[in-house]
Order: sequence, then C-alpha cells, then structure tokens
Amino acid sequence: MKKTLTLCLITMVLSISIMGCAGEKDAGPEKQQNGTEGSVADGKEENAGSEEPIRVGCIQDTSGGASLAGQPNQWGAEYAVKVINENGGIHGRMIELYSRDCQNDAEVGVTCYRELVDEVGVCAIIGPPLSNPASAWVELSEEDQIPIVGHFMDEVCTTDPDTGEAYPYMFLAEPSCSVQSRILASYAMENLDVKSVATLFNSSNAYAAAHEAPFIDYIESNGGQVLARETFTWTDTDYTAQAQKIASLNPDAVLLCDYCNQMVTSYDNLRDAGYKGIILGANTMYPPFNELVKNDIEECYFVQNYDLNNGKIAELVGIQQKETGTDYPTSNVGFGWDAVQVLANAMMQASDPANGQEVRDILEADTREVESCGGSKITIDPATHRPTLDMGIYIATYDENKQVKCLEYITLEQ
Amino acid sequence: MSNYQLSLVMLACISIITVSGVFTMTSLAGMFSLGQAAYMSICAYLTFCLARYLGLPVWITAVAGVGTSVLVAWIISLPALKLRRDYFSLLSVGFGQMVSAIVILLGDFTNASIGFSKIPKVKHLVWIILGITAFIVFMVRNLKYSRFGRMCIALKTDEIAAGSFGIDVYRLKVKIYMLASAIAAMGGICYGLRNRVISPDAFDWSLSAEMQILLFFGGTNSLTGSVISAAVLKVLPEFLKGVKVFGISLQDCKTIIYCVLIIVVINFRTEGILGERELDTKLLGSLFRKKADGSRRDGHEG
Amino acid sequence: MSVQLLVSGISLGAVYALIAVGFAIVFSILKFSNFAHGGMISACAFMGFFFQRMFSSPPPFLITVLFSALCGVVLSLLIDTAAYRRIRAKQAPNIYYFLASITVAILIEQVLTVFFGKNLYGYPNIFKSTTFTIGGIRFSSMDTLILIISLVILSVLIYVINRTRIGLAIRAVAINPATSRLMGINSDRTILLVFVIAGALAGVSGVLLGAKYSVYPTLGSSMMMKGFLASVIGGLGSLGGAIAAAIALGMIEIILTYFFGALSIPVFLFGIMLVFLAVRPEGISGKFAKDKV
Repeated sequence: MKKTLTLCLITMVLSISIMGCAGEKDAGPEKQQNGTEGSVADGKEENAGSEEPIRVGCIQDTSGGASLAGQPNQWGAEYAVKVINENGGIHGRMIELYSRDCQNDAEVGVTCYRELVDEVGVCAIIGPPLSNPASAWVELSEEDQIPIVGHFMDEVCTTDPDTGEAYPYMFLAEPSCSVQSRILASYAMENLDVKSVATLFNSSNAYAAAHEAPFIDYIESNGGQVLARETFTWTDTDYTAQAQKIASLNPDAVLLCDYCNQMVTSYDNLRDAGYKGIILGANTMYPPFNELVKNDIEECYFVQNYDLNNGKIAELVGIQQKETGTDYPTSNVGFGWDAVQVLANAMMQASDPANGQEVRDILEADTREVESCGGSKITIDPATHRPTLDMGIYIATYDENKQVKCLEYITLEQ
Repeated sequence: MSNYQLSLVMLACISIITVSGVFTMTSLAGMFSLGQAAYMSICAYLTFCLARYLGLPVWITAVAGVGTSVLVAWIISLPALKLRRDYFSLLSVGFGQMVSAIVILLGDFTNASIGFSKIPKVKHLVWIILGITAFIVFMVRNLKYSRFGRMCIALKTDEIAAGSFGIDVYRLKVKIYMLASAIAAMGGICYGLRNRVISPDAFDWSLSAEMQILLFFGGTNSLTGSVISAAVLKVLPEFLKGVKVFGISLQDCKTIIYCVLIIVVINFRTEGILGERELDTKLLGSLFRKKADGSRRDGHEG
Repeated sequence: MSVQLLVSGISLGAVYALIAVGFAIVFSILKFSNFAHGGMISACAFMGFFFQRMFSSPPPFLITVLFSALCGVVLSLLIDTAAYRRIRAKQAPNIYYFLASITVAILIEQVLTVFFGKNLYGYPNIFKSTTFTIGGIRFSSMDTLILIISLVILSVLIYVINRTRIGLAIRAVAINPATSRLMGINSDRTILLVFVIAGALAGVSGVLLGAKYSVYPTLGSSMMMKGFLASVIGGLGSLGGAIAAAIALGMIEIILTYFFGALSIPVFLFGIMLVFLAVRPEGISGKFAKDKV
C-alpha cells in the first residue's frame, strides 16, 4: 500500500511536469494580442503574413506582495499592445507580448529575464514598478542588448549611483521617486506653509526608503526642519509608539510613503495619537485608502501620476475594472500603457524594431513628446534615461465625500 | 546550453547546497532551525561589501564571509543549544529577524532594503557552482558514513543514551551547527553571484522554511532524497508556467501544491519519499548483480 | 507621556494575549507549536469580513465575532483531521507536528493570497470616534474593546480550566494522555475539545485584528511570532503566565520603539529570548522545561 502510494505520488509529480512541458507552448503570447491567425501557440511559428512578429517581454509581480499594482500594470501593457496591433502594429509587424511573474523577488526576476531572453527570444522588455528585480537587470540588459522600459522609480535602476551615468539599456517612463518626493516637498513648503516635518515609513521597504530620502533632502536644503524620522518593519503591525512620538513633537506635516496597508495603519495611529497636522502621501494613497482608514480624512495631500477621472486613463481603468473585476481604479493601468507607448514610439522610428541596440539608441535620443494616457508628454532625458523635468505629477486630496480630487499639476521646472 | 538553462542549473545547485546544510542539522542531529537563511545573508553581505569597499577579489573575501558566519554560529550556539528543540527553533526565527534588522541598520554600507546590486559577473559561474555543490554533497555524504556522522545519528535518536556512551552531546551539537552555517554561508555566496543583487528581503524566514520543506519531502534521513527534491521542486515551477487549472495559473498555486503534497507525505509516509534509502555504489552494484543472478538462475531452471 | 505609553503598551499586549492563549492551549496539551494558528486567524478574519458584507446593513459586531468563532472551530477541526491526526496516531516525533503546522500555515496564507490577494479589505467602522479621552490620556476605542473581550474570554477560559471537570480532563491529558485514559478520561475527545477552543480563540482574534487593522492574507502570521514568544516566556501549561508575558511584551515593545526605534526590537527581542530561555526555561510560571526523552 505504501509503495503504491509513493509510486502514485511520483507519477503525479512527473505527469504534472510533463503536462507542464507540453503546456509550455501555451505560455506564449495571449491570444487576444494577435490580429493575425497565423501566429499560433508555439510562438516560434511565423505569421500567415510575411513579417515576423516582434517579441516583447513583460515582467510584473502578479502573485507576490505587490500584485495589487502588478496585475493592473500587466493588463495595461497587454491592452496597449492589443490596441497597437489593431492599428497595424509596428509598420505591419505585430507585437507579441510574453508576460512573466517575478513575484517581487530578484532571483525569480533573473530567471524570468533569462527565460524571456534566451528561450523566447524577446528583443525588449516592459519592466515592473519595482526596484528590487530591476536592479538585478541593470548589467544583464547591457550584456544582452535588451532595452527595458519600466516604472522602477528608484533612480539607482536607471543611473549608476557611483558614476552618475545612465545604464545604457534601462529606461523609466514616469518621474522618478526622487522627483515625486521633491515635488511633494516643494508643494508642502510653498503652498501649505510647512516648515517642520517628520516621516513614518517602513525601512525594509525599498519603495518607502527611496521616497523618504529625497523628501528629507529637499526639506533640509530649503530651510525646513526635520523633527523625526520614525521607522517600522514588515513584521510590525502597530506603530503607536512612533505615532505618539511624532504627535508629541507636533511637526507641521508628516510624510507617509508605504504600500496602502501600512499607510492605513500609519494614518490611523497618527490621528489616534492626537496628531492634527498635515499628512503627506506618496502615490500609493489612492483608494481603498479612503475606505480602510477608521479616522476621518483631513488635511491629506498626496501625489498621483494621473487624474483618474479624465482623459485616456479614465477610459482605460473603466475597461480594466470591468474586465478583471477589481474594485478600485489604479494608476498602474496607465503605467503599463505608457511603457508600451514609449517602446512602440522607438520601434516605429527604427529600421529594424527587433534590433535591441538600435531601439535603445532611439529610446535614448529620440523619445520626445510621447503621449501619456494621463495627458502629459514623455520626453526621455538622454543623460538620465528618465523623463525630463517637464513631466510632473498631480497633487491630490480627498474631498468631503472621500473621493480623490486632483488639485494641481506640478513640475519641478517651476 | 543557453544561459537560461544554465541559470536553472545554478538555481537547482544553490537549492541543493542550502538543503544539504539543513540536512546536516536536521537529519544528522535532529535540530530544527528556521534561521539558516540568516547565515546566507551574513556571509553574502560581508563577502560582497568587503569585495567592493576594499577592492579585494571575491574568493578572498568569501573566506572572511564564511569564517564570520561560523564565528557567529559558534557564539549563538553556545547558549542556544542548551534549550529544548521548540525553543531553539523559535530562537532561530528571532535570529533571522535580527540579522535582517541589522542589515538595514547598517544601510550606509549595505544599501538596506534597496538591495546591494552590481555584484560583478563571474565567468563560467556554472562550473564553479557545480563544483561547490559537488564538493558539499560529497562532504556531507562522507560525514554521514563517518564516525562523526554515526555519533550524530546516535545523538539524534536518543540524547541520553548517546551521552552514556561517552559522546559529548553538547559539543557535538555545536560543531554540527557551525558546519551547517558554513554550508549555508557558501550557499549565500552562490546566490549573490547568480543573481548579482542581494537584499534583506531575500533571506527571510520563508526561505528557511522552504529549505526545511524540501528536506522533509525528499526524506528525512536520505541525502539522495533531499538532493533530488531540492533540485526538482525548486526548478519545477519553471516548467509549470502557463499551465492553467480552473482558470488559475499553476505557478501561482505552486506553493499550495507543495504544501498539500508535504502534508500528504507527512501523513502517509512520514519518512519522506525516499525514506532511509540512499543511492550508493553498493546499491547500484547489487542491482547489476541481481540481473546477472536472475539470468543464471533462469538458465539453470530452464 | 509615559502613562500614555503604558496604556498603549497594555492595549497592544491585550492583542498579543489573545493570540498567545490560543497558542498556549495547544502547546500545553500537545507539546508542539501550532504555527497554523496564525493562518487560522487570517482565514477567520476573511470569513468574518465576507459574512458581514453579505448583509445590506452590517449586523451587530458580536454576531460577526460569534460567526467567526464558529468558522475558527470548523477550520481548526479540519486542520486537525487533515494534518495532525495521523501523526498523533503514529506517535511520530514532535518535529513532524512542527513541520505540519508550518506547512498548513503557509498553505492557508497562499490560498488567501491567490484567491483574495487582489484587493484590500477592511471592516466598516464600529465606533463613532476612534478614541476617547479620560483624564488627559487617550484610549483607542478599538484597543479597549479588544482588551475587554480578551479579559472576558480569558477569565472564562481560566475558570473552565481550573474549576470544571472538563478543565480537569484537559489538565490531566496535558500531563499524560495514556494515564488519563486509564482514569476514564476520553483523551481523544479532550484533544478535540482543545482544538475547538483554540479555533474559537483564533476566530475571535481574527475578527478583532481585522477590525483594528485591515484584512489581508499575512494578518495572522505577522502576529504569530510575538504570540509564540509570549506563550513560551509565560511558560508552558500556564495561561496566566502567557497573558502576563503578552502584556509585558506589548509594553516592552512600545517603550523600546519609542526610545530606540523599531529596528531595535528584533535585536532586543532576540537577546531577551536568549537570556530568558537560558536562565529560566520554564517561563514565568510554567512547569515543563526539559525535552522529555
């Protein structure tokens, strides 16, 4: 009996793996991406048409800790590719998007990258809004000549912190977290009359740390006072002590810059501790933040990449919500869309869109005024591989009905 | 072989190295530790930080890294091994969290949560890692069959009886713990060389738990079983990409499937899939001999 | 300021106490650390959330708590049947329990992530204002509710265990299941009862934690370590010790965070654990210390 059971288990595992190998051919492009019938599950077949499809990879976190952002991001990229293909593709060649899940882990990210580059043979990759996996690709992308366009906001993913030079094959399609934090800080100091600040953030979260440092930097170099920099870690669920400390110091404003869950707890802890001042947030303060906080939302200002009620982005989130059944609209849908637009813009100008080096040269030098779904225009600065400072961000707040209201669009050029 | 396949091989090898380390501790000495990933972290960070800031080649700083891990293991084990097993496991989780916290506190050197990246590329990395893996597996196997190994198994089976035979239980446990941490440390270096970026999140307790799960799946007392399950289960998700069951991708469910399989294995075949059996030359030899005997017997009867 | 800190510490401690007791009960009877408790907390938080969302206007909070406790009981018995029962029958060494419970914990967390990880959920507000002030000290309404419920449940539990026949049976089985059977106590049923109690506690903890924070898959496991630590320091076989240790832990955590920052906590906790367990392994008031060989 035991032997049979062991044999059964082994057979099951083996059969799953064989099934997996056979099914691997289905791991190719999503069917809806292709306008033509010829490009079938195998992914290596050529089109019914005469042109070979352009293979592009898309690595997102769709099942890990940041999947709340990764899934809409992937949807946005896939939808953008679908629209481009419906409009004729890149000079008649269709784009095939191969999506992979990196689970917000650098090791898995490297495996996904290797698979896309070596096995599938992509010529470019749409990256995730995460800096951990992206920082593993900075040198790999140069070695393999694969341009990566993504929303990894941390500046170390696009420029080498030691030399200051841009990594040749990494491109960011939104203002970096440094730019966003500085815009937030400048708004606070100039419009909200903030002179003293404190921060409360998760020091084991790269996203949070990368937002907090430039914010403090701006405040200090513009004559403001930093009263406290309180931290917590992933394993902490309660930040009462930190909140009470900040409340007793009573700065004009407090910066919160984590993922939504931690922001909710931070906000509640701060208000419960009696803090009545201004609370500033990074771009993760979008709904369901307003529904999860137990306190009233007052004096809350945060940055948003897009005004989700207007423009192309409104249309995109509407479709995404209907198709996937998510409850809340997120900007990440726009991230995926924008990254594809930037890449497609370069590919359109290239004589051979599948040539990584040529596309990279165009991305660096000739990405000008690409239409973002939020209405602004993306121009890549060749020195940093990030958008030029004319691409800004919205300052938003919550109105009396707890709805997001965008107040102003600010850029650092002013 | 393409770079992708090589990277899968390296992934399997790193898994084998770490599981072998856990094997030494759990199967040879009965200690259940959820903090092995912390030693990977200590060694990896020390090695690569020293290599960058002092400009030394990695293989020199690796010695320092492994040495420091062993030293830390020694310091921790002195008080910790006097505790009962449950407490020891709890302590190991706390240790892992402490190491993560220290890495973040030293953020000026380690880049904290953003991750320590741009670890330089090493040529022919696959062969180096394969070599290290083979060396470690060979070493653990020999350990199991040596006098040291037999003392450990005696220790695991019954500490009091082992003590009555003159085995210094406490010092033996300390030695094993240090050895296991050295193996984990080498696993950490290989991890860093393959992925070229390390972060404190990568070495948390779920990694340690995964190592234990892989060990128990393959067989608590079988090195072959552990090695096979470490390699296969780590790499299997790559082949299951794109398979969808009931509309949910199998890769998302991979941990669920592993956990269910482990519970089934624990319940029905507590010793693990291979139990006590090992692959060794005698077994292979006897297989061949059986065939020869069988044909001779047939010939005789026929 | 320091009084305020103490109050917050006690509130935090009450949360840990609820978890620590659920943990301690299973620990004292079955001598293994039930990591699955954290998973049950998360699962019950989700189930309670979906239950109260089913109604057009949210039902009274206590109904949700009772429902969640019921779910916890069912889940706990399910886990026992699926994972622990055969190990118990085979009398396998403790390590397998440990491993099984960790695997169950990871399994529950993964199931919740795969099916419910896409959205964030939170219980609706049950209080008009989140804090109230008495004599210059702010009390959080939710924390006070948790404290009150914890104390009520724990006193009921302590009464049951120390003053009733069922409690006597539990204590007997904790010492030796085989001898208890000789004395006419149905050991198996008592063990099931213990799982029922642990499940109910997990259910209540889940809803309270979900209402205090928000509902997400790792809700339980993030609290597990502290609960585990509290029950171990409090001492095996002693509920009162677990509660006292939990409250002490809450206060230490708040005070350390206030003065040294959150990153000092893992370092200090590890040090405290090491010293305490080496010096007084039986905990504050426990009895079982050494491995029974």
